[in-house]
Amino acid sequence: MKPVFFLREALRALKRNAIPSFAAMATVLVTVLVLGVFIPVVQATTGAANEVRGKVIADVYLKTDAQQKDVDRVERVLKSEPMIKSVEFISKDAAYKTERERNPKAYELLGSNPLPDTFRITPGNPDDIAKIKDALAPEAAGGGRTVIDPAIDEVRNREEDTNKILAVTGVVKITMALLAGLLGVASMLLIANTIRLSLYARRREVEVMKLVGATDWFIRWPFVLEGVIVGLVGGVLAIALLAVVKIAVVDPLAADFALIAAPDTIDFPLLIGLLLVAAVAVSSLGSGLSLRKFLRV
Amino acid sequence: MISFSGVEKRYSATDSALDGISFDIFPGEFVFLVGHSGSGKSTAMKLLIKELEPTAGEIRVAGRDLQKIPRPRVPYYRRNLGVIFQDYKLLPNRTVYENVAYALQVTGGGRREIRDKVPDILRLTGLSTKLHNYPDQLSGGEQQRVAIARAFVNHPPLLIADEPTGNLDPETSIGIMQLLYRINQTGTTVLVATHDVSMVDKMRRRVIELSEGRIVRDEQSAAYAAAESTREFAIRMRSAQG
Repeated sequence: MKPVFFLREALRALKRNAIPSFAAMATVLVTVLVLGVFIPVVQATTGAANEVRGKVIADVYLKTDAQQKDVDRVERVLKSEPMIKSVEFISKDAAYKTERERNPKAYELLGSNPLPDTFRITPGNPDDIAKIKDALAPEAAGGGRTVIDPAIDEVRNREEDTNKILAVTGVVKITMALLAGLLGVASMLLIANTIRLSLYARRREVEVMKLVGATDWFIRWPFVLEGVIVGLVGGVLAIALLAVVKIAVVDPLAADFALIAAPDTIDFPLLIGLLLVAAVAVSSLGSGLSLRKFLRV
Repeated sequence: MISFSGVEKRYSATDSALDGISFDIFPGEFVFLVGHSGSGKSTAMKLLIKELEPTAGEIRVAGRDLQKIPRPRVPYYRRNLGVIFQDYKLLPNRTVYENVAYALQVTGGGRREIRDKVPDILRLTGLSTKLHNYPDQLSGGEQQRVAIARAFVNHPPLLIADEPTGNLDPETSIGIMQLLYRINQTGTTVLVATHDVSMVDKMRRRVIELSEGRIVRDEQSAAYAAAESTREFAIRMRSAQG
Protein backbone atom coordinates (compact mmCIF):
# COMPACT_ATOMS: atom_id res chain seq x y z
CA MET A 1 0.00 0.00 0.00
CA LYS A 2 2.82 2.39 0.84
CA PRO A 3 4.70 2.20 -2.52
CA VAL A 4 1.43 2.72 -4.34
CA PHE A 5 0.68 5.74 -2.18
CA PHE A 6 4.14 7.24 -2.78
CA LEU A 7 3.86 6.63 -6.52
CA ARG A 8 0.46 8.31 -6.61
CA GLU A 9 1.89 11.26 -4.69
CA ALA A 10 4.81 11.50 -7.15
CA LEU A 11 2.48 11.44 -10.16
CA ARG A 12 0.22 14.04 -8.58
CA ALA A 13 3.21 16.32 -7.99
CA LEU A 14 4.37 15.89 -11.59
CA LYS A 15 0.95 16.75 -12.91
CA ARG A 16 0.46 19.73 -10.63
CA ASN A 17 3.93 21.14 -11.31
CA ALA A 18 3.90 20.46 -15.01
CA ILE A 19 6.23 23.28 -16.06
CA PRO A 20 9.10 22.69 -13.59
CA SER A 21 8.77 18.95 -14.21
CA PHE A 22 8.99 19.51 -17.93
CA ALA A 23 12.05 21.73 -17.45
CA ALA A 24 13.79 19.05 -15.39
CA MET A 25 12.93 16.42 -17.97
CA ALA A 26 14.16 18.56 -20.85
CA THR A 27 17.42 19.14 -18.96
CA VAL A 28 17.92 15.41 -18.53
CA LEU A 29 17.06 14.86 -22.18
CA VAL A 30 19.56 17.41 -23.51
CA THR A 31 22.29 16.25 -21.15
CA VAL A 32 21.91 12.59 -22.01
CA LEU A 33 21.83 13.48 -25.69
CA VAL A 34 25.08 15.45 -25.47
CA LEU A 35 26.77 12.75 -23.39
CA GLY A 36 25.53 10.07 -25.76
CA VAL A 37 27.18 11.81 -28.68
CA PHE A 38 30.28 12.85 -26.78
CA ILE A 39 31.24 9.52 -25.20
CA PRO A 40 31.76 7.68 -28.53
CA VAL A 41 33.55 10.73 -29.93
CA VAL A 42 35.98 10.73 -27.01
CA GLN A 43 36.50 7.03 -27.38
CA ALA A 44 37.10 7.26 -31.10
CA THR A 45 39.61 10.06 -30.59
CA THR A 46 41.55 8.33 -27.85
CA GLY A 47 41.35 5.11 -29.86
CA ALA A 48 42.90 6.86 -32.83
CA ALA A 49 45.54 8.42 -30.61
CA ASN A 50 46.38 5.02 -29.13
CA GLU A 51 46.66 3.50 -32.57
CA VAL A 52 49.18 6.14 -33.54
CA ARG A 53 51.06 5.52 -30.32
CA GLY A 54 51.17 1.82 -31.16
CA LYS A 55 53.56 2.75 -33.96
CA VAL A 56 56.22 3.73 -31.43
CA ILE A 57 58.86 1.00 -31.67
CA ALA A 58 62.57 0.48 -31.24
CA ASP A 59 64.94 -1.74 -33.20
CA VAL A 60 67.73 -3.72 -31.58
CA TYR A 61 70.40 -4.51 -34.19
CA LEU A 62 72.72 -7.41 -33.48
CA LYS A 63 76.29 -7.61 -34.66
CA THR A 64 76.57 -9.19 -38.12
CA ASP A 65 78.69 -12.01 -36.74
CA ALA A 66 76.14 -12.98 -34.06
CA GLN A 67 75.62 -16.73 -33.67
CA GLN A 68 72.32 -18.51 -32.97
CA LYS A 69 73.20 -18.78 -29.24
CA ASP A 70 73.76 -15.02 -29.11
CA VAL A 71 70.39 -14.47 -30.72
CA ASP A 72 68.67 -16.75 -28.20
CA ARG A 73 70.42 -15.06 -25.30
CA VAL A 74 69.47 -11.55 -26.44
CA GLU A 75 65.89 -12.66 -26.98
CA ARG A 76 65.77 -13.97 -23.39
CA VAL A 77 67.18 -10.68 -22.10
CA LEU A 78 64.62 -8.66 -24.06
CA LYS A 79 61.71 -10.84 -22.99
CA SER A 80 62.68 -10.52 -19.32
CA GLU A 81 62.41 -6.73 -19.52
CA PRO A 82 58.98 -5.85 -18.05
CA MET A 83 58.51 -2.58 -19.96
CA ILE A 84 58.61 -4.45 -23.28
CA LYS A 85 55.27 -5.73 -24.48
CA SER A 86 56.33 -7.78 -27.48
CA VAL A 87 59.49 -8.75 -29.28
CA GLU A 88 59.54 -9.57 -32.95
CA PHE A 89 62.59 -11.26 -34.44
CA ILE A 90 63.55 -10.35 -37.98
CA SER A 91 66.37 -12.57 -39.21
CA LYS A 92 68.96 -11.15 -41.56
CA ASP A 93 67.57 -13.36 -44.37
CA ALA A 94 64.02 -12.16 -43.85
CA ALA A 95 65.19 -8.56 -43.75
CA TYR A 96 67.24 -9.08 -46.88
CA LYS A 97 64.23 -10.51 -48.70
CA THR A 98 61.91 -7.63 -47.90
CA GLU A 99 64.52 -5.00 -48.61
CA ARG A 100 65.46 -6.59 -51.92
CA GLU A 101 61.83 -6.62 -53.00
CA ARG A 102 61.62 -2.98 -52.19
CA ASN A 103 64.82 -2.04 -53.97
CA PRO A 104 65.96 -4.91 -56.22
CA LYS A 105 68.61 -3.06 -58.25
CA ALA A 106 70.58 -1.73 -55.32
CA TYR A 107 70.69 -5.14 -53.62
CA GLU A 108 71.71 -6.90 -56.81
CA LEU A 109 74.65 -4.58 -56.91
CA LEU A 110 75.58 -5.39 -53.33
CA GLY A 111 75.69 -9.12 -53.88
CA SER A 112 75.98 -10.29 -50.28
CA ASN A 113 73.61 -9.53 -47.39
CA PRO A 114 74.83 -6.58 -45.31
CA LEU A 115 71.85 -6.60 -42.95
CA PRO A 116 72.06 -7.70 -39.30
CA ASP A 117 69.59 -9.78 -37.29
CA THR A 118 67.09 -7.43 -35.70
CA PHE A 119 64.67 -7.49 -32.80
CA ARG A 120 61.75 -5.08 -33.20
CA ILE A 121 60.38 -4.25 -29.76
CA THR A 122 57.01 -2.71 -28.90
CA PRO A 123 56.80 -1.11 -25.47
CA GLY A 124 53.88 -1.80 -23.13
CA ASN A 125 53.52 1.95 -22.67
CA PRO A 126 54.82 4.11 -25.51
CA ASP A 127 56.04 6.70 -23.00
CA ASP A 128 58.60 4.15 -21.72
CA ILE A 129 60.45 3.90 -25.01
CA ALA A 130 63.30 6.15 -23.89
CA LYS A 131 63.67 4.23 -20.63
CA ILE A 132 63.81 0.94 -22.53
CA LYS A 133 66.52 2.33 -24.70
CA ASP A 134 68.45 3.45 -21.62
CA ALA A 135 68.02 0.01 -20.06
CA LEU A 136 69.33 -1.84 -23.09
CA ALA A 137 72.10 0.64 -23.92
CA PRO A 138 72.91 2.78 -20.89
CA GLU A 139 74.59 6.08 -21.60
CA ALA A 140 78.28 5.96 -20.88
CA ALA A 141 80.21 8.71 -19.11
CA GLY A 142 81.84 9.83 -22.33
CA GLY A 143 78.53 10.50 -24.08
CA GLY A 144 78.30 7.35 -26.21
CA ARG A 145 76.31 4.31 -25.28
CA THR A 146 77.48 0.93 -24.09
CA VAL A 147 75.21 -2.02 -24.75
CA ILE A 148 74.27 -4.54 -22.08
CA ASP A 149 75.02 -7.56 -24.23
CA PRO A 150 78.14 -7.97 -26.35
CA ALA A 151 76.09 -9.34 -29.25
CA ILE A 152 74.04 -6.16 -29.54
CA ASP A 153 75.40 -3.68 -31.96
CA GLU A 154 73.01 -0.78 -31.51
CA VAL A 155 69.56 0.16 -30.14
CA ARG A 156 67.70 2.67 -32.22
CA ASN A 157 64.32 4.37 -32.15
CA ARG A 158 63.27 7.02 -34.63
CA GLU A 159 63.69 9.69 -32.03
CA GLU A 160 62.19 12.64 -33.80
CA ASP A 161 59.06 10.80 -34.92
CA THR A 162 58.64 9.17 -31.57
CA ASN A 163 58.81 12.41 -29.63
CA LYS A 164 56.33 14.10 -31.93
CA ILE A 165 53.86 11.24 -31.77
CA LEU A 166 54.05 11.06 -27.99
CA ALA A 167 53.61 14.82 -27.54
CA VAL A 168 50.66 15.20 -29.91
CA THR A 169 48.71 12.15 -28.83
CA GLY A 170 49.37 13.02 -25.16
CA VAL A 171 47.80 16.45 -25.63
CA VAL A 172 44.84 14.98 -27.50
CA LYS A 173 44.20 12.42 -24.78
CA ILE A 174 44.46 14.92 -21.91
CA THR A 175 42.20 17.40 -23.70
CA MET A 176 39.58 14.74 -24.30
CA ALA A 177 39.72 13.54 -20.69
CA LEU A 178 39.34 17.12 -19.44
CA LEU A 179 36.40 17.80 -21.76
CA ALA A 180 34.70 14.59 -20.72
CA GLY A 181 35.19 15.44 -17.04
CA LEU A 182 33.89 18.98 -17.50
CA LEU A 183 30.87 17.78 -19.41
CA GLY A 184 30.08 15.23 -16.72
CA VAL A 185 30.29 17.83 -13.95
CA ALA A 186 28.28 20.35 -15.98
CA SER A 187 25.53 17.79 -16.55
CA MET A 188 25.27 16.95 -12.86
CA LEU A 189 25.18 20.62 -11.85
CA LEU A 190 22.59 21.44 -14.50
CA ILE A 191 20.26 18.64 -13.46
CA ALA A 192 20.77 19.30 -9.74
CA ASN A 193 20.04 22.99 -10.24
CA THR A 194 16.86 22.42 -12.19
CA ILE A 195 15.65 20.02 -9.52
CA ARG A 196 16.51 22.48 -6.76
CA LEU A 197 14.49 25.17 -8.49
CA SER A 198 11.43 22.99 -8.75
CA LEU A 199 11.85 21.96 -5.11
CA TYR A 200 12.33 25.54 -4.00
CA ALA A 201 8.92 26.38 -5.37
CA ARG A 202 7.48 23.69 -3.13
CA ARG A 203 9.44 24.29 0.06
CA ARG A 204 6.37 25.66 1.87
CA GLU A 205 4.55 22.46 1.12
CA VAL A 206 7.39 20.45 2.64
CA GLU A 207 7.31 22.66 5.73
CA VAL A 208 3.59 22.04 6.17
CA MET A 209 4.05 18.30 5.82
CA LYS A 210 6.68 18.37 8.55
CA LEU A 211 4.43 20.35 10.86
CA VAL A 212 1.64 17.83 10.41
CA GLY A 213 4.01 15.15 11.66
CA ALA A 214 5.30 13.52 8.47
CA THR A 215 8.67 11.80 8.82
CA ASP A 216 11.49 12.84 6.52
CA TRP A 217 11.26 9.70 4.41
CA PHE A 218 7.50 9.96 4.13
CA ILE A 219 8.05 13.32 2.46
CA ARG A 220 11.15 12.28 0.57
CA TRP A 221 9.98 9.12 -1.16
CA PRO A 222 7.53 10.83 -3.53
CA PHE A 223 10.25 13.31 -4.48
CA VAL A 224 12.74 10.52 -5.16
CA LEU A 225 10.18 8.65 -7.26
CA GLU A 226 9.44 11.88 -9.09
CA GLY A 227 13.15 12.11 -9.87
CA VAL A 228 13.17 8.52 -11.10
CA ILE A 229 10.25 9.23 -13.42
CA VAL A 230 11.79 12.46 -14.73
CA GLY A 231 15.14 10.74 -15.30
CA LEU A 232 13.52 7.76 -16.95
CA VAL A 233 11.34 9.77 -19.32
CA GLY A 234 14.11 12.24 -20.23
CA GLY A 235 16.62 9.43 -20.63
CA VAL A 236 14.38 7.24 -22.78
CA LEU A 237 13.48 10.13 -25.08
CA ALA A 238 17.13 11.08 -25.50
CA ILE A 239 18.11 7.48 -26.21
CA ALA A 240 15.34 7.19 -28.79
CA LEU A 241 16.77 10.27 -30.53
CA LEU A 242 20.28 8.82 -30.32
CA ALA A 243 19.08 5.55 -31.84
CA VAL A 244 17.41 7.39 -34.70
CA VAL A 245 20.60 9.33 -35.43
CA LYS A 246 22.71 6.18 -35.18
CA ILE A 247 20.52 4.18 -37.51
CA ALA A 248 19.89 7.01 -39.97
CA VAL A 249 23.30 8.69 -40.10
CA VAL A 250 26.17 6.86 -38.42
CA ASP A 251 25.57 3.28 -39.52
CA PRO A 252 25.32 3.96 -43.28
CA LEU A 253 28.39 6.19 -43.06
CA ALA A 254 30.38 3.50 -41.27
CA ALA A 255 29.33 0.95 -43.86
CA ASP A 256 30.14 3.14 -46.87
CA PHE A 257 33.43 4.58 -45.78
CA ALA A 258 34.69 1.95 -43.35
CA LEU A 259 35.93 4.79 -41.16
CA ILE A 260 39.69 5.03 -41.03
CA ALA A 261 40.69 1.93 -39.08
CA ALA A 262 37.48 2.35 -37.03
CA PRO A 263 38.72 2.27 -33.46
CA ASP A 264 36.75 0.34 -30.88
CA THR A 265 33.90 2.38 -29.45
CA ILE A 266 31.46 1.40 -26.74
CA ASP A 267 28.63 -0.95 -27.73
CA PHE A 268 25.39 0.90 -28.30
CA PRO A 269 23.33 -1.21 -25.87
CA LEU A 270 25.97 -0.74 -23.15
CA LEU A 271 26.11 3.00 -23.86
CA ILE A 272 22.36 3.51 -23.59
CA GLY A 273 22.22 1.31 -20.49
CA LEU A 274 24.87 3.43 -18.78
CA LEU A 275 23.21 6.68 -19.82
CA LEU A 276 19.81 5.56 -18.58
CA VAL A 277 21.15 4.41 -15.22
CA ALA A 278 23.10 7.65 -14.84
CA ALA A 279 20.08 9.80 -15.75
CA VAL A 280 17.82 8.05 -13.26
CA ALA A 281 20.45 8.00 -10.53
CA VAL A 282 21.42 11.66 -10.85
CA SER A 283 17.82 12.78 -11.08
CA SER A 284 16.52 10.76 -8.12
CA LEU A 285 19.54 11.37 -5.90
CA GLY A 286 19.36 15.03 -6.84
CA SER A 287 15.74 15.26 -5.70
CA GLY A 288 16.35 13.30 -2.54
CA LEU A 289 19.44 15.22 -1.50
CA SER A 290 18.26 18.69 -2.47
CA LEU A 291 15.25 18.17 -0.26
CA ARG A 292 17.42 17.83 2.83
CA LYS A 293 17.70 21.56 3.29
CA PHE A 294 13.95 22.07 3.32
CA LEU A 295 13.35 19.20 5.71
CA ARG A 296 15.05 21.02 8.57
CA VAL A 297 11.90 22.38 10.18
CA MET B 1 -0.40 18.79 30.19
CA ILE B 2 2.11 21.52 29.43
CA SER B 3 4.73 22.66 31.85
CA PHE B 4 7.28 25.42 31.23
CA SER B 5 9.90 25.86 33.91
CA GLY B 6 12.44 28.64 33.65
CA VAL B 7 12.28 28.57 29.86
CA GLU B 8 14.60 30.98 28.15
CA LYS B 9 15.10 31.59 24.45
CA ARG B 10 17.70 33.92 23.01
CA TYR B 11 18.09 34.53 19.29
CA SER B 12 21.32 36.39 19.94
CA ALA B 13 23.47 37.11 22.96
CA THR B 14 21.81 40.42 23.76
CA ASP B 15 18.10 40.07 23.10
CA SER B 16 15.99 37.36 24.63
CA ALA B 17 12.57 36.43 23.27
CA LEU B 18 11.64 34.53 26.41
CA ASP B 19 13.24 35.44 29.69
CA GLY B 20 12.78 32.52 32.04
CA ILE B 21 9.03 31.86 32.02
CA SER B 22 7.27 29.17 34.08
CA PHE B 23 3.65 28.05 33.97
CA ASP B 24 1.57 24.87 34.01
CA ILE B 25 -1.47 24.04 31.95
CA PHE B 26 -3.65 21.18 33.13
CA PRO B 27 -5.51 18.62 31.03
CA GLY B 28 -8.81 19.88 29.70
CA GLU B 29 -8.01 23.56 30.19
CA PHE B 30 -8.68 26.30 27.64
CA VAL B 31 -5.90 28.83 27.95
CA PHE B 32 -5.10 32.06 26.14
CA LEU B 33 -1.56 33.26 25.71
CA VAL B 34 -1.72 36.99 25.03
CA GLY B 35 0.70 39.82 24.48
CA HIS B 36 1.77 42.40 21.92
CA SER B 37 3.77 41.46 18.86
CA GLY B 38 7.27 40.61 19.98
CA SER B 39 6.21 39.63 23.47
CA GLY B 40 7.33 36.05 22.91
CA LYS B 41 3.99 34.31 22.18
CA SER B 42 5.05 32.87 18.87
CA THR B 43 8.41 31.82 20.27
CA ALA B 44 6.61 29.90 23.02
CA MET B 45 4.43 28.20 20.40
CA LYS B 46 7.41 27.29 18.24
CA LEU B 47 9.15 25.81 21.26
CA LEU B 48 6.07 23.70 21.90
CA ILE B 49 6.09 22.15 18.44
CA LYS B 50 9.86 21.77 18.63
CA GLU B 51 10.46 24.03 15.68
CA LEU B 52 12.90 25.82 18.00
CA GLU B 53 14.96 24.66 20.96
CA PRO B 54 15.02 26.63 24.24
CA THR B 55 18.30 28.21 25.30
CA ALA B 56 17.65 27.17 28.90
CA GLY B 57 14.89 25.67 31.02
CA GLU B 58 12.65 22.67 30.61
CA ILE B 59 9.43 22.13 28.67
CA ARG B 60 7.27 19.11 29.37
CA VAL B 61 4.27 18.08 27.31
CA ALA B 62 2.15 15.18 28.56
CA GLY B 63 4.97 14.28 30.92
CA ARG B 64 7.64 14.16 28.24
CA ASP B 65 10.70 16.37 28.34
CA LEU B 66 10.89 17.94 24.87
CA GLN B 67 14.64 18.31 25.11
CA LYS B 68 14.96 14.53 25.30
CA ILE B 69 13.07 13.82 22.08
CA PRO B 70 15.71 13.07 19.40
CA ARG B 71 15.29 14.72 16.03
CA PRO B 72 14.06 11.62 14.18
CA ARG B 73 11.30 11.18 16.78
CA VAL B 74 9.98 14.74 16.41
CA PRO B 75 7.41 13.81 13.72
CA TYR B 76 5.92 11.18 16.04
CA TYR B 77 5.72 13.75 18.84
CA ARG B 78 3.96 16.22 16.55
CA ARG B 79 1.26 13.70 15.71
CA ASN B 80 0.03 13.95 19.31
CA LEU B 81 -0.43 17.63 18.83
CA GLY B 82 -2.94 19.54 16.77
CA VAL B 83 -1.43 22.77 15.47
CA ILE B 84 -3.26 25.72 13.92
CA PHE B 85 -1.55 28.75 12.37
CA GLN B 86 -2.52 32.27 11.47
CA ASP B 87 -1.79 31.58 7.79
CA TYR B 88 -3.61 28.19 7.86
CA LYS B 89 -0.68 26.33 6.24
CA LEU B 90 -2.82 24.16 3.99
CA LEU B 91 -1.33 22.21 1.10
CA PRO B 92 -2.30 24.29 -1.95
CA ASN B 93 -2.28 21.35 -4.37
CA ARG B 94 -4.83 19.33 -2.44
CA THR B 95 -8.53 19.57 -1.98
CA VAL B 96 -10.11 20.11 1.41
CA TYR B 97 -10.69 16.37 1.71
CA GLU B 98 -7.10 15.51 0.73
CA ASN B 99 -5.66 18.08 3.10
CA VAL B 100 -7.41 16.49 6.05
CA ALA B 101 -6.67 12.99 4.77
CA TYR B 102 -2.95 13.82 4.62
CA ALA B 103 -2.79 14.08 8.40
CA LEU B 104 -4.06 10.48 8.57
CA GLN B 105 -1.83 9.22 5.76
CA VAL B 106 1.18 10.57 7.61
CA THR B 107 0.43 8.30 10.55
CA GLY B 108 -0.04 5.32 8.25
CA GLY B 109 -3.82 5.50 8.24
CA GLY B 110 -5.41 3.25 5.62
CA ARG B 111 -8.09 4.15 3.10
CA ARG B 112 -10.87 2.78 5.26
CA GLU B 113 -9.82 4.91 8.22
CA ILE B 114 -9.68 7.96 5.95
CA ARG B 115 -13.11 7.24 4.51
CA ASP B 116 -14.51 6.88 8.01
CA LYS B 117 -12.94 9.82 9.74
CA VAL B 118 -12.49 12.61 7.20
CA PRO B 119 -16.15 13.20 6.27
CA ASP B 120 -17.05 13.14 9.97
CA ILE B 121 -14.57 15.77 10.99
CA LEU B 122 -15.47 17.94 7.99
CA ARG B 123 -19.11 17.76 8.98
CA LEU B 124 -18.19 18.79 12.50
CA THR B 125 -16.33 21.83 11.15
CA GLY B 126 -19.13 22.70 8.74
CA LEU B 127 -17.31 22.00 5.49
CA SER B 128 -19.39 19.15 4.09
CA THR B 129 -20.20 21.07 0.93
CA LYS B 130 -16.61 22.06 0.18
CA LEU B 131 -14.93 18.65 0.15
CA HIS B 132 -13.49 18.94 -3.35
CA ASN B 133 -12.58 22.60 -3.36
CA TYR B 134 -8.95 23.72 -3.33
CA PRO B 135 -7.78 26.05 -0.55
CA ASP B 136 -7.59 29.09 -2.84
CA GLN B 137 -11.30 28.69 -3.61
CA LEU B 138 -12.23 29.10 0.07
CA SER B 139 -12.66 32.13 2.31
CA GLY B 140 -10.22 32.73 5.15
CA GLY B 141 -12.64 31.41 7.74
CA GLU B 142 -13.25 28.25 5.72
CA GLN B 143 -9.53 27.69 5.26
CA GLN B 144 -9.02 27.99 9.00
CA ARG B 145 -11.79 25.46 9.55
CA VAL B 146 -9.99 23.04 7.23
CA ALA B 147 -6.82 23.61 9.25
CA ILE B 148 -8.71 22.87 12.47
CA ALA B 149 -10.24 19.74 10.93
CA ARG B 150 -6.76 18.59 9.94
CA ALA B 151 -5.38 19.34 13.40
CA PHE B 152 -8.19 17.48 15.14
CA VAL B 153 -8.76 14.49 12.85
CA ASN B 154 -6.31 12.38 14.86
CA HIS B 155 -8.03 13.45 18.10
CA PRO B 156 -4.85 14.71 19.73
CA PRO B 157 -4.96 15.38 23.48
CA LEU B 158 -3.58 18.87 22.94
CA LEU B 159 -4.46 21.54 20.39
CA ILE B 160 -2.34 24.66 20.04
CA ALA B 161 -3.28 27.62 17.88
CA ASP B 162 -1.02 30.53 16.99
CA GLU B 163 -3.16 33.60 16.18
CA PRO B 164 -5.93 31.48 14.65
CA THR B 165 -8.15 34.51 14.09
CA GLY B 166 -5.38 36.94 13.15
CA ASN B 167 -6.52 37.24 9.53
CA LEU B 168 -10.26 37.00 10.12
CA ASP B 169 -13.10 39.44 10.75
CA PRO B 170 -14.81 39.45 14.20
CA GLU B 171 -17.87 37.45 13.19
CA THR B 172 -15.80 34.72 11.53
CA SER B 173 -13.46 34.77 14.50
CA ILE B 174 -16.33 33.96 16.83
CA GLY B 175 -17.17 30.99 14.65
CA ILE B 176 -13.58 29.74 14.89
CA MET B 177 -13.52 30.27 18.66
CA GLN B 178 -16.80 28.41 18.93
CA LEU B 179 -15.24 25.51 17.09
CA LEU B 180 -12.20 25.52 19.36
CA TYR B 181 -14.49 25.67 22.37
CA ARG B 182 -16.43 22.70 21.11
CA ILE B 183 -13.19 20.75 20.71
CA ASN B 184 -12.21 21.75 24.24
CA GLN B 185 -15.53 20.36 25.44
CA THR B 186 -14.52 16.91 24.22
CA GLY B 187 -11.71 16.99 26.78
CA THR B 188 -8.93 18.28 24.56
CA THR B 189 -6.59 20.81 26.11
CA VAL B 190 -6.52 23.99 24.01
CA LEU B 191 -3.86 26.68 24.04
CA VAL B 192 -4.50 29.77 21.92
CA ALA B 193 -1.97 32.54 21.35
CA THR B 194 -3.59 35.81 20.29
CA HIS B 195 -3.32 39.57 20.53
CA ASP B 196 -7.08 40.00 20.18
CA VAL B 197 -7.75 41.24 23.72
CA SER B 198 -11.46 41.90 23.24
CA MET B 199 -11.98 38.29 22.18
CA VAL B 200 -10.08 37.07 25.19
CA ASP B 201 -12.09 39.27 27.54
CA LYS B 202 -15.34 37.94 26.15
CA MET B 203 -14.27 34.32 26.41
CA ARG B 204 -13.43 34.59 30.11
CA ARG B 205 -10.98 31.73 30.24
CA ARG B 206 -7.60 31.49 31.83
CA VAL B 207 -5.22 34.12 30.42
CA ILE B 208 -1.44 34.14 30.50
CA GLU B 209 -0.06 37.48 29.39
CA LEU B 210 3.48 37.89 28.15
CA SER B 211 5.37 41.13 27.84
CA GLU B 212 8.94 41.35 26.67
CA GLY B 213 9.49 37.71 27.35
CA ARG B 214 8.08 37.65 30.90
CA ILE B 215 4.75 36.59 32.32
CA VAL B 216 2.96 39.71 33.60
CA ARG B 217 -0.44 38.14 34.25
CA ASP B 218 -1.74 34.63 34.86
CA GLU B 219 -5.35 34.77 35.87
CA GLN B 220 -6.10 31.26 36.92
CA SER B 221 -8.92 32.19 39.23
CA ALA B 222 -10.17 35.36 37.58
CA ALA B 223 -13.69 35.84 36.30
CA TYR B 224 -13.90 32.31 34.97
CA ALA B 225 -16.97 31.46 32.97
CA ALA B 226 -18.85 28.45 34.22
CA ALA B 227 -19.07 25.42 32.00
CA GLU B 228 -21.62 26.15 29.33
CA SER B 229 -22.85 24.47 26.19
CA THR B 230 -21.48 25.54 22.84
CA ARG B 231 -24.77 27.23 22.05
CA GLU B 232 -24.78 29.24 25.28
CA PHE B 233 -21.16 30.11 24.58
CA ALA B 234 -21.96 31.41 21.12
CA ILE B 235 -24.91 33.46 22.33
CA ARG B 236 -22.82 35.06 25.04
CA MET B 237 -19.99 35.84 22.63
CA ARG B 238 -22.31 37.50 20.13
CA SER B 239 -24.17 39.53 22.74
CA ALA B 240 -20.93 40.79 24.23
CA GLN B 241 -19.91 41.93 20.80
CA GLY B 242 -22.89 44.24 20.43
